Amino acid sequence: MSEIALFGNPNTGKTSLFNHLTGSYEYVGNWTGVTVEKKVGLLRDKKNHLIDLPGIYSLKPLSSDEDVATLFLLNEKFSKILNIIDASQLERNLHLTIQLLEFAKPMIIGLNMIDVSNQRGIKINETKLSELLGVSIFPIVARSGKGCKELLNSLDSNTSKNIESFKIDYGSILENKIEELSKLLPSNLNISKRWLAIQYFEGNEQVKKYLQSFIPENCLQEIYLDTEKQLITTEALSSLTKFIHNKRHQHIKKITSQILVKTKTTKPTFTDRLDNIVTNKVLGIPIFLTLLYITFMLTFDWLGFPLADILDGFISGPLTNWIMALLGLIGASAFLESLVIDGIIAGVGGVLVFVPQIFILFFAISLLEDSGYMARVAMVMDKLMEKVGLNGKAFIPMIIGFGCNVPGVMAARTIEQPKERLLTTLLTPFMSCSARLPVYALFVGAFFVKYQAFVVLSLYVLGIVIALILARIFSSVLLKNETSVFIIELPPYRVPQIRTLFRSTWDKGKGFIRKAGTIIFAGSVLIWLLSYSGPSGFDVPMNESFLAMIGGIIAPLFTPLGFGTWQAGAGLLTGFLAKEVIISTMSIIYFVPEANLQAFMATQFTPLSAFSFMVFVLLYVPCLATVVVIQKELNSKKWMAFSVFISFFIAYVLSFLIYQGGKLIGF
Amino acid sequence: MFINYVFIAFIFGYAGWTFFKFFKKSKKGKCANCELNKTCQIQCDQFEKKETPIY
Amino acid sequence: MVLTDLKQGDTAIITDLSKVNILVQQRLMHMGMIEGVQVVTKRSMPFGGPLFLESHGQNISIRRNEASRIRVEQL
Repeated sequence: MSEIALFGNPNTGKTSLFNHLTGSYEYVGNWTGVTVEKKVGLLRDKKNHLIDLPGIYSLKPLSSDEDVATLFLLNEKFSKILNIIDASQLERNLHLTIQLLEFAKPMIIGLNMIDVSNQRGIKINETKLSELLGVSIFPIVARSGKGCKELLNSLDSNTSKNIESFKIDYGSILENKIEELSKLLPSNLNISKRWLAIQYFEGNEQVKKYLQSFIPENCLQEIYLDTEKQLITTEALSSLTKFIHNKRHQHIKKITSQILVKTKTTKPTFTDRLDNIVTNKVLGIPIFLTLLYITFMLTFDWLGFPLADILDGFISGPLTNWIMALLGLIGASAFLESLVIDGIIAGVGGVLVFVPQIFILFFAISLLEDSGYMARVAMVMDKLMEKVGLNGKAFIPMIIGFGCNVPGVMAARTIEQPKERLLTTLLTPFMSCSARLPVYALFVGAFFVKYQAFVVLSLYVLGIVIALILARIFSSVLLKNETSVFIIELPPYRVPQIRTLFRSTWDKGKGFIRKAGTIIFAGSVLIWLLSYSGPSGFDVPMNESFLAMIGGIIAPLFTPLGFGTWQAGAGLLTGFLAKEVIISTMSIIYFVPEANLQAFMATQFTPLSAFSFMVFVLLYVPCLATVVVIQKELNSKKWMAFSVFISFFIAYVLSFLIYQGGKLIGF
Repeated sequence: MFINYVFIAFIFGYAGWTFFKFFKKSKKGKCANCELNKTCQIQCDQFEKKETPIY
Repeated sequence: MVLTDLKQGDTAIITDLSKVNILVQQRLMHMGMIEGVQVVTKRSMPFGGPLFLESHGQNISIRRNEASRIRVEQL
C-alpha cells in the first residue's frame, strides 16, 4: 500500500475529487480553507491511500493551514503526487505545479473544470501541455466525477514517467548558488536538494528550519544575503522571492502561449450577475442579515419547533409506552424500570428531540459553504471586523461555530495574521453552538412562550456582541503591535449539488447523534444513578440524593445570579462534558411523572432567573471538546486556561448584572 | 429476576466503557476525534509544534 | 495614480506593488496579481469597506488602505 498526496490551489475542487476517488465522506466547501488539516482516505480500488492536503497557492506558506502542506513534503513518506489544476485559472495554478515538479517525485495532473474554462472561451491543448511538463494529464470534471475513473486507473499503474528532467533555468547567478547550497547538504537526503535550495531562496520558512538541522544558521543567512545582493545589483529587482516568481512566470507564459486558445470574448457570467446583487453597496449587508434571519426562523420557528414537537410527542408518548410494556413483559424490577424510563429515555430522549432543529441549522450552514457565499460574507463584514481589530475572514469560523465550535476553531487556521488567528480562536466559542440550542428551547418553552424566537435571537446576538467587544478590548490592550490585513479570493458561485449538500449536512449532524448514543447516554446513566441513590440507600427522594448534595455544594455560588438551586448547579457541572448534557440532567431531575414539567420549572425559576440562566449557559465555558481543540490549535495551555477563565468570568458578571439589574427595575 | 441483572449490568457496563473512551479520546485530541483515525497513518500532531506566544 | 482613484468598472494596469503590506503582496502574487497585470475595480463596500477587484477572471477583495498603495495606470 502506498500513499498518494493530493495538491492543488484553493477552490479547485480538490475535496470533490477526493470524494470521488475515495468514496469516503468528506466535507466540501466553496471557500478557501475547507481542508485545514490533511485527511487520508482509501482509494476506491482499495490499493492505495489518498491524502488530501489543504489548498495552497504556493509551497511557501503564509498561513498555518498552508504549513501543513509544506511540512508534509518535508517529513512524510509518499510515493506519488496528484496535482489538481483549475483549467480556468491555468497560469496561477501552474506556479504550484512547477514547484511540485521541482520536488522531483512521480506526478500526475488532473485538469479540472474544463467545462468552466470552455464557457469562458478558453481551450487547452492537453497533449501539448503534458509534453511540455513531462507528466500525464487527465481532464476531469470533479463535481460530476467525469474522467475520475481513468485518473484512478492511472494512479494505480506504475508507469508514470521520471520527472527528474524538469528544470527551469533561474539564470547563472541563482543556479550557481543553488549548486553551492546543495553541496552543503548531506548526500543521503531523500528530498530533492535542488527543490530545497530553491524553496529556501524563495523564503520558505519551514524549509529554512529544516535546513538549519544540517547547516549553521549564519552560513545559510550568508548565502541568502549574498545571492540577493548579487541579483539586486544585476537584475534591478526588489527581492529574491520576486525574482524566482518572475522566472517561473516567464516560463509559464512560454508554456501557455503554446497551449491556450482563446475562442471567444467573455460575457458577464452568472457569478458576476449574482455578485451585482449580493455584494451591492446598499443591499449587501441587509441581504446577509436577511439570510441569517431566515435560517434562524427556519430552525426555530417555521420548521424546527413543529418537528421537534412531533418528535417529542412520539418519544414521551408511544415510545415510552412501548418500552414500559416491554419492561413489564420481562418482569423488570423497579430499579431497572426507573433506570430506563427516568434515566435513559428522559436523558437521551430529551436531547434527541432537537435532532430536526440541529439538522436544519447544519443544512443552512452547508448551503452557505457550498455555494461560495461565505467568502462574500467575509468581504461584506470586513469593515465591521476591522473596527474591532480583526478581519472579515474571522467571520467564517464564527458562522461555522454556530453549528459546532470545534470545526469553527479549526477554521481559524486560514487567517494569515497570527494575532488575528489567536483572537478568532479564542472568540469562536462565544458563538452559540447547536448543542446550546436545546437549553434555550426548554426554557423559552416554559417561560417565554409568546416571545420564543425573539428571546433565542437575543441570545445569539448577545454571543456575537460579546465576541466583538472582547475582540476590540484584546486587540487594543493585549495584542496591539500587529497590523491587521485582509485579502480574500472570491470563488465563482456554484449551484450546490443536492447530494453533496445532504452529505455534508449529515457529516456535521451525525456527530450529534453519535454523542446521543455515547456520552449523553453514559452521562444520563450516571446522573440518574446519582439522583436515585443517596447516603441512605437507593430510591431516595431526589432532594436527598448524591446529585442534590453535589449540586448543593456549588449552588450558593449561583444564588446572586438567580439560580442557586442544586438542580441548576448539577446541570452546569455536567454541561462541561457536552452542553446537551445540561438538558439530560434537567430532564432527569425534573422528570416527575404526572406532573407538568413546565409548571414544575416555574417553582424553580422566574422568567428573569431563567433568562439569566440561559445567558450563563451561552457563555460559561466551552465544552470539553472545544477546550481540547483550543489547546491543540494554539499549542498553549496558558491560552486554553485563559479561554476557560475569561468565558466563566464574563458569564458570571453578565448574568449577575442581568439578574440584579432586572430585579431592580422590577421584573 | 436474572434478566434484570443482565440488563442492568449491560447498561452500566456500556456507560462506564463510554466514559472511559470519552476521556481517553479527549486527552488525545483531534487525531482521535478524526473520522479517519483508523486509516490515517500519519500523526497530525507532529505539525505545528510552535507555541503561540503570549503577547 | 493609485487603485482607489479608479471609478467603478475602470480597467487599469498594475505598475507598482512594493508599498503594499508584505503578506498582502505575497498573496496577490500567488493569485497572479503582479506588476503588468490588468485589473478591474468592480465595486467597493460601503463605509470605506474593502474593494472588489477582478483580474484574469478571478475575483479578489482587499482593503481600501492596501489598494491605495497599489500604483496603477488607467487604460
